[in-house]
Amino acid sequence: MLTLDIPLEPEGLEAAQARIEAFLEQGGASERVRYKVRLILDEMIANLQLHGRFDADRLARARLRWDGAGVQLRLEDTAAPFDPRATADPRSPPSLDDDRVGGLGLSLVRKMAEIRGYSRLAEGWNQTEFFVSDS
Amino acid sequence: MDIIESTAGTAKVAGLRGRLDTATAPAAETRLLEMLADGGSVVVDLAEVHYVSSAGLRVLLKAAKMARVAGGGFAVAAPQPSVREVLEISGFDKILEIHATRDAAAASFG
Repeated sequence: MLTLDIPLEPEGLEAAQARIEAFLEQGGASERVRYKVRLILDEMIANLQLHGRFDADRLARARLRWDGAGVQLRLEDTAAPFDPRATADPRSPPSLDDDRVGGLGLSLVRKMAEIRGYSRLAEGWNQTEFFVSDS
Repeated sequence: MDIIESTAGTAKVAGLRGRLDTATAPAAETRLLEMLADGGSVVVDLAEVHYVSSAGLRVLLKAAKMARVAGGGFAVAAPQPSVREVLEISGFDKILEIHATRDAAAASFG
């Protein structure tokens, strides 16, 4: 299992991504799973940076467990409550006539992973559980 | 992210190398839009790109729109399997011209 803080700025995020990549590679996770995990973290953190409302410290952390069949990813943050399961998907497919491409990142996350749960913890953290299958 | 520029037939080719993500998308977008500004045709060669996020997809979408406005052509070439999967699940394979090689992409402009 790997637990780490995720800095909400590009350089820190890349360092965290590199640690996660090494952890998963060492455990034998396929390149495809590693791609999916990187993308989910990229998109969720970008979403926090762009849309997250923070009343206190801007914090995020991740916990990953690789079991040979997939990755359980728990992502926690101190932004205002946000359940990624509750947002509507953008219209699909995208179009060259439509400038509205918002929601693309979250749409990719939903297609790359199963979102198994969301909770708002008493201490003011969002907690979202993802499962990324190696298939 | 490196961008290596060359030509194939009458098309300009932008060979991207590395990750096309939040960190690299702004520079890639700027250069691609500059290459398209004169109304010519541009191929984005993704053979050396091993990761694309939604920020990268938006760059490709903006480039395709710019090509249409400027009266030029725009095509994507040689995506790696993992990148192709992202193009497919996002539906971008339906709106972008995607070819197996840069030469095939360049030839598609006629």
